Amino acid sequence: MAYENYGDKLRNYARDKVANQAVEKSEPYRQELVKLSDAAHESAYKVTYELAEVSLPPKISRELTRELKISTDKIKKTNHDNLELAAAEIISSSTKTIFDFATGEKNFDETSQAIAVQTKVVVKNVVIERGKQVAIDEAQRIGGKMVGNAAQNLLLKAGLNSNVAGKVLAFGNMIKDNVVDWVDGKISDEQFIREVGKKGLTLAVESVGAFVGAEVGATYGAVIGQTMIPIPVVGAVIGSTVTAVACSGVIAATDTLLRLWDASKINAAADRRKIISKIKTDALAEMNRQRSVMQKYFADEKLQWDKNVQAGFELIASGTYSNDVEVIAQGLDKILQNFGSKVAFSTYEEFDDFFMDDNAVFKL
Amino acid sequence: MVPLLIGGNIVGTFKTFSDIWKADEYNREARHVNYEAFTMVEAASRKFQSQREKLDETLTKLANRKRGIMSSSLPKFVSVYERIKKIDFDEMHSVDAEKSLALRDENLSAINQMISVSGVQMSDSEILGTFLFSWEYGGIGGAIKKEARINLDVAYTRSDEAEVIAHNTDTARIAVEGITDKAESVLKLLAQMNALFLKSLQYTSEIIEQRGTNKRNYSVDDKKALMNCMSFAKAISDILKAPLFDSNGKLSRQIDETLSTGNEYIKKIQAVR
Repeated sequence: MAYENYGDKLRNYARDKVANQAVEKSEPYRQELVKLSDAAHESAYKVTYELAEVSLPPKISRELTRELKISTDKIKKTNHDNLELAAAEIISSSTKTIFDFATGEKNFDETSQAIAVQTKVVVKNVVIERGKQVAIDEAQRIGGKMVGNAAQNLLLKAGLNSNVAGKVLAFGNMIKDNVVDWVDGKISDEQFIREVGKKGLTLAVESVGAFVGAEVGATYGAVIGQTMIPIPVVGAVIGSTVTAVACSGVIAATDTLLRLWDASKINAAADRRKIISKIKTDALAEMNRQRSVMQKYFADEKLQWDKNVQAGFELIASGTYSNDVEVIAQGLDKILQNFGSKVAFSTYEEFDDFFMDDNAVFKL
Repeated sequence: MVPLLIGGNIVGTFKTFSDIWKADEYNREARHVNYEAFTMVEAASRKFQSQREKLDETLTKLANRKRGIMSSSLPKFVSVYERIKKIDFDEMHSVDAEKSLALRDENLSAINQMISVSGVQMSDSEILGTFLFSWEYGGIGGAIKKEARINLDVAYTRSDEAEVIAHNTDTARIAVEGITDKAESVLKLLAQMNALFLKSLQYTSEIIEQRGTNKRNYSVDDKKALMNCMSFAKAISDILKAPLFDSNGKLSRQIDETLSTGNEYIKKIQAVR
């Protein structure tokens, strides 16, 4: 995955733009935050389960309950640690700004500047100034309680509508993807802001709405914004993790059901292997048979060639010693058999007639 | 109920770890099989290329020798014998024609062309979807194991394909080796024939010098000497013009058929994937 170095990218970004020293000093605390993020996953999992219960059939929810934690760990193990952390941190500092931009309260320049400053806030204020213990306490407190409250607020403000809940969760995912592209350098700052700020919200509503199957009014964006804004920075980190987990766990899985799941894909490889194995067996048998025939041709031809050449030179030598031109002619004829041609003159008489004929032409 | 749940979780966790462990084993095996497959094709290809280079070298020598005889020995013969006989000396147009051998280029098309078989890389959502909606695969661990299993199957498929390609490549090498042997035999024969021809030409040049253009001045022995020399000239000319292999001959057809068969099987395999 290309996400392995998002932690580095994030650090580079921060170093270049806002808080070089702060990042270096914050590294131990930052690592601590990674651990806290793991703890946050636990809370996220719990919240996700609660959300899943209202949005998915009971049987699947139960399975999800058990497996989502494992999936979260697995996703983390497969190089998503840095991705989610990077995305979560940026989101946490930028959510309000993005929302302001989307609602027209801030222009692009103000938005860019604000995001840069807020990135600094994440690194410096939260991690360093508030200190390790504060961060731990805050994360534990929010991880255990506030994320759940935040999610509950979301649901309440959305009228506890499960469809809305799904869309709220999807919002985080939409932003996360854009942040990933942004940190990865795939999109420019402006593209990022425009994508997430203007288009992103709409896309989130529309795309999620399409798969959940319900419409939500124009006030939906405000619900998201107002709900997300009050969450403290660390809480937002965890809150964003909630959306990340929820999106990868619930939404993506549901999406998979609709679009990607194909049992034949699982079995096709084994079936193909059997077929190809059979073809291979047949192929090797037939190819070996034909190769043997070819090799026999080569061997026979070589044998005949050598035989003719040897016999030919023996006759030439014999004819030379005995001054017998016809024997020499036989020798040449023998050699020429290898080339499908015949000697020019088989007998002396034949040559003499040709030689004495003034009109005869010798063709080479 | 609670102990049951705890027990269930322990068993589930154990199974997941077991599946992931198994997936690692599959992945290791797949890597090994893939490595072997590509090594097999690469080794066969290297041997073939080496033999092909040897053939090219031999054919170049053969072409040079033919050019040498064509531009030196035969013109010398013509200049001497034109005094006593009309000679139709048609210079060979294509001494390089040896390269149009029995081995047709299209038959070599499959060599070293193992199509890259893409394995399966399930996205996270596919993995999640797999455990969520196909519980019989045993959850996330099962899905990961299944993915690894698919890739192992793909690796063995690739290995089978590699084996057929390597076999066909080796057949082509054997064919090229046979052609090289033949070219070397002709090369050697031409050297021997040319040596005898030049001796004969030197001897008969002196006779023609002495007897002149009046054919009646030539004795039987003189004419026998001329007969030998002219027979050698014609024989060498025939050898120079003869293709290394008759393009419609049995051997050519057999090489063609053998390699075509391999190619057809390779296509079959690639069509299944």
